[in-house]
Amino acid sequence: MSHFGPSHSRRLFLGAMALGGAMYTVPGAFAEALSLARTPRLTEGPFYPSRLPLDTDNDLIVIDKSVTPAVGEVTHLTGRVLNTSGEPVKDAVVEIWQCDAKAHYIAQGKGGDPNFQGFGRFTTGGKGEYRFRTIKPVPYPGRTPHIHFLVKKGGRELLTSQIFVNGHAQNRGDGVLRGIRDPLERQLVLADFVPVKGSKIGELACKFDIVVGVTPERR
Amino acid sequence: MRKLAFGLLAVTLAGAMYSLATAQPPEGKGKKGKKDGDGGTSLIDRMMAFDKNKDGKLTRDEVTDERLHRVFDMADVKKAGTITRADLEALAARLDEGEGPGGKGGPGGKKGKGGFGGPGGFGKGGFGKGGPPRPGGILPPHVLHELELSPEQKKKFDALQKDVDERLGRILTADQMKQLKEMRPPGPPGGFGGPGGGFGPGGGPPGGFDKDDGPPPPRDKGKGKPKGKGRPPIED
Repeated sequence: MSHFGPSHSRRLFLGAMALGGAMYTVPGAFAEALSLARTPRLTEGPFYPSRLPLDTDNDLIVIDKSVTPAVGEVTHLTGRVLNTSGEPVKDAVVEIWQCDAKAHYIAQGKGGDPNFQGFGRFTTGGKGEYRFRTIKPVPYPGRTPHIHFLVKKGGRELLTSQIFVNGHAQNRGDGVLRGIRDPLERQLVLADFVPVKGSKIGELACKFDIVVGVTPERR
Repeated sequence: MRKLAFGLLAVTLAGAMYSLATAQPPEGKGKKGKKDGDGGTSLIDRMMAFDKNKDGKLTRDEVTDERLHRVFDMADVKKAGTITRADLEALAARLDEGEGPGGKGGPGGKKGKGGFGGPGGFGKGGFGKGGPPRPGGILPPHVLHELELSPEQKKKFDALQKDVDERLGRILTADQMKQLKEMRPPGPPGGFGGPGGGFGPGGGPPGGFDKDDGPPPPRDKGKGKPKGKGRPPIED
C-alpha cells in the first residue's frame, strides 16, 4: 500500500474534514458542557497476549479463512468511544481479549479452542464506533464472566477495563467488579446481552459505549 | 549488591505499577466510595447535572447519556417517569445491601494473611457474599445458593463433596490435611484467576507464600521481571 499519492491525500483530506466537522457538530444535548462519567478503569489482568495471534481483526469467532467457528454464544459487541464531552473519538484503537468457552485464554498457550481468536482489534472512524464479533463471556475460575478491553490512540493508552454481563449471578462475588465502590458507577461496566431478533443461531447483541478522558487538542 | 539493588528496584517499580494499574483509588480506608473515582464526582452528582431546569426532578429524556437509562429505570420504582436525588441514593443503598458488610474492607482487611487479591480487598464481608470455596471445597457457598439446587441435587452434591474430602484425605498426609484445614480461603473474590497467571487456582500465589507473612509483595512473584508493557501480572 503506497503511503503517498491520491489515496493518501484523500485520506488526509477526509481526516481533516472529520476533525473540523466534529468541532461544529457537537450534539445539542451535550452542548452545555455536560461532563459524562468516564468508564471506570479496571485491571488489565495477566492475560493480555504478549504475543499477538496472527489474526488480529475484529472477528474473534473465525480465524483467518477458517470455516469452523469458535464454540460459544455468538455476540455482536458494538459501541462508541466518546470523550467526556460526548464527542466521538476517532482513530481510537479498541482491543478486546477474553477466554474461550472453556475458560482458556490464548495467553495461556496451547490447549484452548483452536478456532477462537481470543483477541481482536478495531480502529474507530469519525463516529467513534467500534464493533466486534465474539462469544458471550463465560466464567473463569474465581471470576465472573467478563471481556477485557483497552482503548489507545496515537500509541497512548486511554483506558483499560472490563465488560461484564449485567445480571450474572457471579457478579456479586467478583472482587474486580466490586473494586468499583460506587454501585451506580459499577453500572457503567455492566452490559446487556440481548438476543438478536430473527437470528437463527441465537446471536446476541451487546451495546457498550466507552467514555474516555481525552482533551480536545489530542482528539 | 547490584542484584539486590536491582531486585529492590524491580519490586518498587512493580509496586508502583500495581497501584497504577489497579482500578479505583487506593482502597485502604474502605470508604463507601460516594466520591470515589472519576475525578471525585459521584455518579449521582453527574446524573443530577442532567437536570436542566433544576427542578430537582430528572426525566428519562433529560438523561441524554444512554448508559444511565438503566440506572434511571432502576431508580424509578414507582414508574413515575421522573426521579429525584433521593431515588438515586435509595437505589445505591439497595445495590449496596446486596453485597453484605464487605464493603468496608481495606486491602486484605482482616484476612490479610490469605492473600490480598485485587483492588481493595474486602476483608470479612468478601467471603460472606462471595469468593472461592474453602480449600478443598468444590463450589463456593454463594454459588451453591444461587444455583438453587433441588433437594435431590443437594444430596448428590453433598455426597460428592464428602467423596472429594475423603479421597483428598488419602492423597495428602495428616500434616498436610491439618495445614489445609488451617488455611483461610484465598484472597478476595476473583483475586487470582487460574493457573496461567502464575497463581494457584483460585488462590493466592502458590509456594513461597508463608501464611505467617503479611500480604505477599506485589505481583512479580513467580513471573520474574515485569515485561512487555511493564505491567506485572495482576489477577485476571
